[in-house]
Amino acid sequence: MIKQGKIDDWALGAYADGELSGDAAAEIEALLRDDPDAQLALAELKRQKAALKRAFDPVLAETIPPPIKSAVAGARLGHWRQVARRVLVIGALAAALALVVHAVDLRELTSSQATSMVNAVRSAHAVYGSEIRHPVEVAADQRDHLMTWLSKRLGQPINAPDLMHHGYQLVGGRLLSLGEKPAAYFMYENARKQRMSLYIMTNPEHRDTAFRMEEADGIMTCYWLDGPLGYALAGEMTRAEMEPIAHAVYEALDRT
Amino acid sequence: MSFKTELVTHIPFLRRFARALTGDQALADDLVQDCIERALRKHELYDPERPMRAWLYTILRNLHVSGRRSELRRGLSIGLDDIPSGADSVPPRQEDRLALGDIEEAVRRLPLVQREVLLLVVLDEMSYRDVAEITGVPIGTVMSRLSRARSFLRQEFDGDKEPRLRRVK
Repeated sequence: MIKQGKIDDWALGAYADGELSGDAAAEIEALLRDDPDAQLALAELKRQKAALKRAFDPVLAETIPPPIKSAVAGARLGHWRQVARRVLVIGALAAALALVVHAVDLRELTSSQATSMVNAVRSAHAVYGSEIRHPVEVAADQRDHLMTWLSKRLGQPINAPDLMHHGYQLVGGRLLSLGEKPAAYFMYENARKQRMSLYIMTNPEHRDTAFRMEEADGIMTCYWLDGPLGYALAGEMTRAEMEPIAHAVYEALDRT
Repeated sequence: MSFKTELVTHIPFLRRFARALTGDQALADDLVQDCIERALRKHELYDPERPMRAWLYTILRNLHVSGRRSELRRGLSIGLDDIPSGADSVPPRQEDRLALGDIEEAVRRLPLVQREVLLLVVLDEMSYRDVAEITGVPIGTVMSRLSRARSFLRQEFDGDKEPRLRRVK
C-alpha cells in the first residue's frame, strides 16, 4: 500500500475510512507529515464526505412515509407474507379477469388467466401446507372471534363454511394483507392430516364467473368470483373430491 | 429488542441509502418498502450475529440491482459492470447541462457498482468487510471501486463550499 515512501490512493482511503490498524495508521500519519500532496488528497476525501453528508443526511430527519410505516405495522412475520403475496397475485388476476368479464361478458376464465391463477394458488398451498408450528393465526376454537374479525376487516360477512360432511375440519384462519386490502384465509384439515386452503378476497368489480378447476402435481384448485368476493380453494385431492366441496363452499358463502 | 422494533430504527438509514443510490425520492421509497416487506417475510433468514443494517442493505441493494437488470435487459445481455453511469437513475445529462459542483449529480453519474460502494463506505461508514458482503465481491474489488469513485468525484466535483465551473478540457 505504501510504495517508495508515497501513500497510494487505496492506503489513504483506507486510512480515511478507519480501516487501518493502529500501527498502519501511525505509519500513514508519519508519511503524511512530509507529503503535502497526500495531505491535499486527504483533505479532498474529507470534503467529499462532508458534501455527501450535507446532500443526503437531511433524509434521516424526514418523516417516514406512511406506506413504509404500514409495511412494518401490517406485516405478519413468517410464511404468511408469502401466502399473502400469492393471494395478492390471485387478487390481481381476479381483478384483471373481472375487467375482461366486464368487457366481453365472459363467464369463464380464459385459459392463460386460469393457468396463472392455478400456479399462484398451488404455490401458496405448497407454502402453507408444510407449516407445522404456526398453521393459523386464530384457531378454530375461537371461531366466533375469527369470523367477526375477518368480516369486519373485509367489510363483508365472512363465514368459514362447515365442511365436516366432506371430512374437513376447520383448523383456523388468518387475516392477510393484500396491499391496501384485507383478505381472509381459512385452513381445513381432514382425518389424514391433509390440508385444504380457502382464500377469500374482495372483488371490487362485482362480477361473477363460473367455477374453474385445475389439477397439477396432485394439487387441485378451484376458484371463482362471486359478487363482492373472490374465492380460491386448493388441496391434494381429486376433481371428484373437490367439486362437492367447492359447491358446499359456494352455497355456504354465497348465501350469507 | 424485537425484530420489528430494531427494523424500524434502520428505516431512516435505508431511506438515505436508497435516495442516494437512486437519486429519486419516489423510487427510493418504493425500494425501501419492498426491502422492508422482504425482510419481514424472510426474517427467519436473518442471522442475529450479523449487523441488521448490513443485512437490510443487502436486500435493498439486490432489489435495486435486479430491478435495474430487468429494466435494462430488453433483449440485450448486460452485465452489471457494463451498466453505464447514470443509466440506473436518470438519463445522462448533456455535458453542458451538468450541474456544476453538484455532489448529487456527480454521484448519479457514477457507475452503479462504484456508487453503491462509495455510499456504503463514506455515507454509511460501513467497514470494507461489510460492504464486500453486501455487494458480493472481494474486499480488493471494494477498494478498487471505491478508489475509482473517489477519483471520479475529484474530477467531477469540487468539494469547496462554493460551486465553481467545471474544468473545460
